[in-house]
Amino acid sequence: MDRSTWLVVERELREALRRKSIWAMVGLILIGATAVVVLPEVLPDDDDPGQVALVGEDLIGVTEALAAVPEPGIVVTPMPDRDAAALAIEDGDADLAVLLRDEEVPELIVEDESSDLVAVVREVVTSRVAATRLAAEGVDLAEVTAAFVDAAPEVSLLDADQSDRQGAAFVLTMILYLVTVILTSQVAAAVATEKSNRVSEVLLAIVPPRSMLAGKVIGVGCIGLVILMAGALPVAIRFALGGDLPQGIGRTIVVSAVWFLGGLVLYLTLAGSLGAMVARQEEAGAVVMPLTMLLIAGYFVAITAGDSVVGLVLGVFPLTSPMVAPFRVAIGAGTPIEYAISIAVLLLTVVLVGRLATVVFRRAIVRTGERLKLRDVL
Amino acid sequence: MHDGLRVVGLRHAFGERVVLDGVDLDVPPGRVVGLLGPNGAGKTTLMRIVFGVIDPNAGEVRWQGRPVAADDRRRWGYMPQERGLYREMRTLDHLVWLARLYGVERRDAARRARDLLERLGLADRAGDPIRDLSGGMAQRVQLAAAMVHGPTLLVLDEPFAGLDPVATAFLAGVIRDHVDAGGHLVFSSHQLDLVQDLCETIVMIHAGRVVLEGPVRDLRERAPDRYLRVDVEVDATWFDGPGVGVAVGAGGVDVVSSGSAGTRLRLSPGVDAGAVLDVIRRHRRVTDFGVEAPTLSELFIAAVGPTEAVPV
Repeated sequence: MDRSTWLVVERELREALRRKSIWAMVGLILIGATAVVVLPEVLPDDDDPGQVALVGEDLIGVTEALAAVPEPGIVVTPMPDRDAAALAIEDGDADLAVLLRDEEVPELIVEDESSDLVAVVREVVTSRVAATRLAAEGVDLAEVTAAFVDAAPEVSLLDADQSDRQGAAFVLTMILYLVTVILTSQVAAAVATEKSNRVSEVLLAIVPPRSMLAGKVIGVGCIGLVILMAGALPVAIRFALGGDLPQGIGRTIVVSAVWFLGGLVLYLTLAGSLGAMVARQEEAGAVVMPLTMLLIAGYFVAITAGDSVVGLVLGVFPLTSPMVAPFRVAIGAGTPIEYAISIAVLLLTVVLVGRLATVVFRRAIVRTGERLKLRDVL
Repeated sequence: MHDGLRVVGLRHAFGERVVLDGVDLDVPPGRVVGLLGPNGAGKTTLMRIVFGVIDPNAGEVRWQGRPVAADDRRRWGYMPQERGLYREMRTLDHLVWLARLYGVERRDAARRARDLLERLGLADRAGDPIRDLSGGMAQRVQLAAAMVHGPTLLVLDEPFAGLDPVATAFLAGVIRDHVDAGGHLVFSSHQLDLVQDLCETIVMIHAGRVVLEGPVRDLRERAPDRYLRVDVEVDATWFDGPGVGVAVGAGGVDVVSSGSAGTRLRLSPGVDAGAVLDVIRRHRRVTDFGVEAPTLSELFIAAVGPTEAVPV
């Protein structure tokens, strides 16, 4: 980076860090991300063992069978009578009650019939009653148990982490989309402001247009990364302290960073040159609308059709690949060759667009008075 | 040939609109050069070309006898017509940053910026954001921004626009100091008469062409017309009729302006100022009068014709 570019970057960073609004945003994002990381650890979750009140003499081995239910498990608490069990459920001390009655089938007292715990307890109680009855009829209990075990289907997990990775990819793509959209608008507005207040005129006399544009892109991009880091820091700390990561997400994040940075530079460079074409700062939002639309399109294709042929094409097209390709990596929809081509096309586009944008920027920044069209400056 | 700035045959158009059409400009050291003309004459475009902000369609900018280079421009200072500063930046920080962009080392830049703020009477506002300064103060900061790296050439675009008389006198003093120290300086203005006493040399442009140029004193003395100023209101019909001895209109006398504050009359070559004064004295008692060379705006109107000229 040459001295002029560095000085432009330095000014952007120093002035941004002086703005209270930036610190407020960093603080809010830090608090929000910390809350997302910490709250699940603090708040009660569905992994607590089920609380079952048991009324009556257990002659059929229900207590033992319930205690054998795997994680998160079931805790059985004996109760003297039906009223005590009902009271325990109302008070929240028990999730449901099992009433064992002589000669009759047991009764379940529940608040929510559709809960997983009810289904598990119902199955356990049913199997114990059935086994007891079969034993009474002279069937060997060990054989019955073995028959039940043999009849259970074998469960095979195809990809234990796929849904986790899809969820993470969804969040990741949304964050990249939001950061890019916000920073794109910021660069266009900043360039438009410099044009309208003639700062650019003074700078162009000293600084090459390439350095002005590059300095703005790098400066604003760095501020965006600082804000992004504020959100990533609590998550990183959590995982550093031993949190769980869905398999493959670490790799996805690292690879996505290449597309993210490439895409960010591409979009901010385009936004800088487009911002130079407006006459007033208020028009900056309108002039970057096509970029915003492209980002939105990329984002929606990523989350809705990331693993389709459309996803494949837009995963290579440089203006949408920063949104689509990371999603395809996350869900494992593409191949390494496809990813390599996508990155190569993106980086090549960054170089070519950088040159073109510098020409547009230089010609447009000094044409004041009216909003320019591309054909006016090309 | 001098060792200053020379602009030769500049030609530039924005689309179909020609804004400069073969303009020459010389800025020798030690002289205040005024680039004058009405709004839209092409002054700002010329200055932008001088600073390389715009590439001209034709023509050349030369410095010290050779085509100007980027490094030359880093030793010049440019003050654009309006603003040209980051409003949210603190005054001292802004000046130091600009000086560093010009290539001055950080410590030296800070020292120069402080000295300049002191000289311009802004030392106590060094830590304030520029948006908190008054218009006149911001204008001085702009000037400081153009001078913070100790430029050899100062190019000021409409520096007097919007300034009160005190600020105008202060700025004129700064300009004189720079030139007296051997520096080069050119400034633009559409307020021709305001800067008449400050300019030593002028280049007057209109619709992209040079219509008048040279030392101000020579231009005014060489002008064939003379102007009679009297402190009474004059009626042009006084010069009509036989026996007056003074013709009205071309070849005679024209009332340029007249009101309760006085009258200014243009006298064609050969017209006897005393005879004109005698006609006026037949109607009014004159207590103050003078015969003067034309002002710059009168020279401008004479050069482009009254129908072409716009109010300046």
